[in-house]
Amino acid sequence: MNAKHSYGRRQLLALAAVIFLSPALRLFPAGPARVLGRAAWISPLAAAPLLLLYGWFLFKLMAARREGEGLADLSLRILGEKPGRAVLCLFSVWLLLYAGFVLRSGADRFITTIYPLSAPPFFTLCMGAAALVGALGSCRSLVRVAKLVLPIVLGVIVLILFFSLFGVDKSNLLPVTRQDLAPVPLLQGSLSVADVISVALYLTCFLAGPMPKKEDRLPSFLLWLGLICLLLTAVSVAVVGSFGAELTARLTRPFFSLVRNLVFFSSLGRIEALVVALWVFPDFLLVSLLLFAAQYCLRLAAGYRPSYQAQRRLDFSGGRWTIWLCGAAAILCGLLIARDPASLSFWSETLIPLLNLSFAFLLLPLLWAAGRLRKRL
Amino acid sequence: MKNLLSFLLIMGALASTLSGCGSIYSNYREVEQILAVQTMGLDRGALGVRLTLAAPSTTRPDGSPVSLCGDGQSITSAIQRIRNYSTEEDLFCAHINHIVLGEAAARQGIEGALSYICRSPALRIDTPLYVVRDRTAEELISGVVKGGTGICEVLDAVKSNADERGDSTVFTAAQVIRALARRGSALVCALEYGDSDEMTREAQDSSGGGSKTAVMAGYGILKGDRLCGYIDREDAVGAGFLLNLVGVSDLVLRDRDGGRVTLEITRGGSEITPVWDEEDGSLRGIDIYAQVSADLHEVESAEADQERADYITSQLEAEVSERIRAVLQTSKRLQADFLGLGDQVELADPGRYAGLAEPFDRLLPTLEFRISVSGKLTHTNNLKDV
Repeated sequence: MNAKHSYGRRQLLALAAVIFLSPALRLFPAGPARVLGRAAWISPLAAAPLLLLYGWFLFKLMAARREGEGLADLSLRILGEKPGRAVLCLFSVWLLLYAGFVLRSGADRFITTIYPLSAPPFFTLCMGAAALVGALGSCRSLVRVAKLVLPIVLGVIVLILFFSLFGVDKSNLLPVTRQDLAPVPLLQGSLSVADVISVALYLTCFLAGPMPKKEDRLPSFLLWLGLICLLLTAVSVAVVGSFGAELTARLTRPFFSLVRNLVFFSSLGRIEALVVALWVFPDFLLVSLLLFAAQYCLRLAAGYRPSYQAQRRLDFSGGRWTIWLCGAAAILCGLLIARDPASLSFWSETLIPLLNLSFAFLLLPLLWAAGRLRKRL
Repeated sequence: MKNLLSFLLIMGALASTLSGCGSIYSNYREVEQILAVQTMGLDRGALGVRLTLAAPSTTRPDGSPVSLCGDGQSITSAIQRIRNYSTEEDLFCAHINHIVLGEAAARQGIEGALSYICRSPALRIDTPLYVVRDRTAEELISGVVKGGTGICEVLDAVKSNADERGDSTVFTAAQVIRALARRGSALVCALEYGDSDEMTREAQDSSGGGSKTAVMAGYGILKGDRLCGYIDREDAVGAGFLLNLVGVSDLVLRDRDGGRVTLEITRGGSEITPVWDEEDGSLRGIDIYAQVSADLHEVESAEADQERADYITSQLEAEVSERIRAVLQTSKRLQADFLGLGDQVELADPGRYAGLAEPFDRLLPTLEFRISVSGKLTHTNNLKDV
């Protein structure tokens, strides 16, 4: 891979951190608060061992890649031509479905937080079009945008968490009893955390191609996981500590409700519109990545030789028309799915996490097992 | 790099249009066209809801406060009705700082109001909530005029005083929702429609006489989602001790010779120890140990000795104990754990609490409360009279 088109481990982990924020604040900490009550803040810590194990597994899987290979190329090599192509098509369908859902969910975030009188299609179309432009370019651009955006988004989160700590009531967080930490609720809460973190991990593996193999390092991968778990713990402490588990569980976007409540130095308030606007970046990068990965899988399955490098956006050669097809499919999916609040809740809290966890903890381990059986790992 | 910069510029421009302050997609308005509502009042009305909105005097060129009323089947339809019928500028509700509930409305249930506060993109969940004693919110909001100021400024002052003082705490909608969800009852700051007789002559003169104001009047008690009683302003100090929200508040006692002594409570709090039956593990009672520190502010008698200081301290302890007892009696009588005693018992012994045969609020009437208070006179200010 030409150095001009490659990127490093840190840049890829920055992308993972940014795209993680999109599902994280949609599901967290309302999901764990529903099952764990005031012990919701324990769930990221409880999920840490499972996630570290998963991180180790993913690292071992990706260690088998050759120079220039991402998860899609690796899957095709492991499974061989026919099964490999079928699995790539399956990947593609899942990635497009997820992209459509992110578009729909992002639109809903705007409507519930800033534009109550609006309809979702406007936001779905705008974000879908922006993400299509991102997917038409090189994946290096996406990774570099993430590197630039990450300090801003993290800075805002840290600032919000710091100021919200003043409103934390310890009786909302303690005591955590043995009853609170019963195995089934704890597992449910941990799976909710595993859902939002694992998606960021395996999606970035699709973009691992341009990263030189010498950049693969397990400690930094695991350190990233640890820091993300700590960030989620801090978010839970701030939100559940401020609202209490009962109210947190009822709110659709508790983190943004927390932002709405913040008043800085008794004079500056109602900054939620700016914070919600910032979440355009995680959504944009996530949908762009999903579109890029989906078209890459499709082109690979169709026998083309897709590239991670930049090409002219209006170049349709080498099956690049599939990028437009994927963009259109994701937007259409975003327009058609979850058209009422109950349906959106089902997609957000049940269907998408279930499919995602199946992909992360079933399909990828099966891929690894197939590789071991076929002695390709 | 050029592409990347172009992209960032485009995204930046896009983000600025999404800030909600103005874009092709939002209803852009000049500040002068907006009537920034800061107080919302909710009552029962002919159609269902009687809504009163008030804006501070600073929003008007003539410096007079604004209040608007309207009926509707719901809060949303009442706002819409006010918007349609009023000749005022566009209503802007994003800066509502106070929500006042009329007594009759609160007695019929506030679940609808709380649900509206949670759902509305305009309101903050931590907006302070009040209930008006014996009046409607409309009467309070429309009637309070103090010089050139209206209810918004008065409630700002009430909130500020409550933050500094200890005889009342202003609870937010989020705190009320949380308390109702957790223990089925909650406290809400009660307001009284202040009569002009209560005001000083100086204040009457400056406002032209006969002006009205809103004053703190202890707490309203919500059980389920309905107002079921009050804690008077005097006893609210006792609630402060049990909630560990004690601020500065004054206390007038009698000396040995019957002279008045004024103390100012500066610090205080309580610790709760559950008393368990060792045989069957049931909760028998609660030991409450309160600590209070007070400064001596006014003394009618010139006598000064250690004995008198001890006597005043014992009076202070008895007074605080009495106020705590009064609040606990109310809690027992209503079977409502609005003081969060259950949470503290749980904090002290989570295992046994989980094994309670009945919910904590149902156990309240059977519990024995033992109150002990330790008082201390911390300052006598600039006179060494004890």
